[in-house]
Amino acid sequence: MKIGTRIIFVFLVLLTTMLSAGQARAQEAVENPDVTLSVEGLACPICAYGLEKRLKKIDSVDTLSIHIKDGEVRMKLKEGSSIAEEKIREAVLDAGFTLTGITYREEEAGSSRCPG
Amino acid sequence: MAQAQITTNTALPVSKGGGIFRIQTKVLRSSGDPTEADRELTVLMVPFVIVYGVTSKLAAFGIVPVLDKQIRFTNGLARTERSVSGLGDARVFFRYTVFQKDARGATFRVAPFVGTQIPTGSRDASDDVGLLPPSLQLGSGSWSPFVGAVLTRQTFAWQIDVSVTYQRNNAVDGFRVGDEARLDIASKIRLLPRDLGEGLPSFLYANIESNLILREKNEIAGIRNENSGGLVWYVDPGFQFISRRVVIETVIQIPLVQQLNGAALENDFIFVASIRLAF
Repeated sequence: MKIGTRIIFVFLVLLTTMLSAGQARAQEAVENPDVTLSVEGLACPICAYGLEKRLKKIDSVDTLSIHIKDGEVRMKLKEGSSIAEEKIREAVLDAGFTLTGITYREEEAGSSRCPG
Repeated sequence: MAQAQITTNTALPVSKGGGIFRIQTKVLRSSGDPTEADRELTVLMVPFVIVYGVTSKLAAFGIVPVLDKQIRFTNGLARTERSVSGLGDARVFFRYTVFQKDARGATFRVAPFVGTQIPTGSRDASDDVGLLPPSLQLGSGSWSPFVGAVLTRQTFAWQIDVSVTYQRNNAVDGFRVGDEARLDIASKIRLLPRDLGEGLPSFLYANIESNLILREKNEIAGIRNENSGGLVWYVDPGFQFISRRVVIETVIQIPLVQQLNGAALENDFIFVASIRLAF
């Protein structure tokens, strides 16, 4: 099977490449978050990646970490910036999950619960 | 939808503007020929799968397989081999999530899908001996629509995907592959980590999947080929390693029931190894 050998070789090369790509950017740790989101429907690591990607598209988001067990996303905002609740809601919806709450750091606006 | 099955693609999860690239290697072996030809068929299939999230509910799928088929049989006293390789028939389909109920660490989703097989595979391949038989051709030559639905229930600890599909195969130049109906059930339980802890840990699952496939007989010039079609039921044990962006998975499809018509070849097994990258 000449083509079979070639296909297996390409498969192994792709496996190595994809593993490298997948490990390249690990999730950053977020201490003392400015905003914490409560999200329902998060049940696996690769599903959470879509949510991470959508939230990172919001300009004011600096870093974020997802805590799957608690259904939480902890976000650090860029210095001096704020975030519109509507943008958060849209990002979570686009990722295919349900947003149930937004908690801001105490010196900021407090918290809000979203209708399920 | 969720982490999805290994043996099918209908439940692959994708967010709006996000995508998944999946490459699989499938090795199928068939033997047990009841005739004196003692045919042995080996098929190496490498489907390249791309999924794109058009919206949070609508996903577009494209699947392009590369095939390498080889058949060995007894011709008189000699053992003969014929083989072919190249692009197989592609498939495109769209899935729309019509129902979604989320809870903390859990989700339940229902999504119908519709698509078509595209005749990208050659159906007039030949070798030194002449035109290859239909079973060895790379494509069917027909645009064949299919419809179905997938249901997913997922928690941290376990998941089940149930997918039903019906494909209507159209005739080309008097030859028609029989229609196909299938029921695919994929279940898994999380082995590691035992405690989820902080952050986003990678998961290791033990999987059991099941594929019930019912095929009608093929038709040549309106006459049914009695040596084609039938029912096959596979049970597939496997493993899945799922990290934040990469999935590595493997499964072996073992045919527990094969009620095949006439002298149709029985499948011995299908081995599947697969990798996925979210982008």
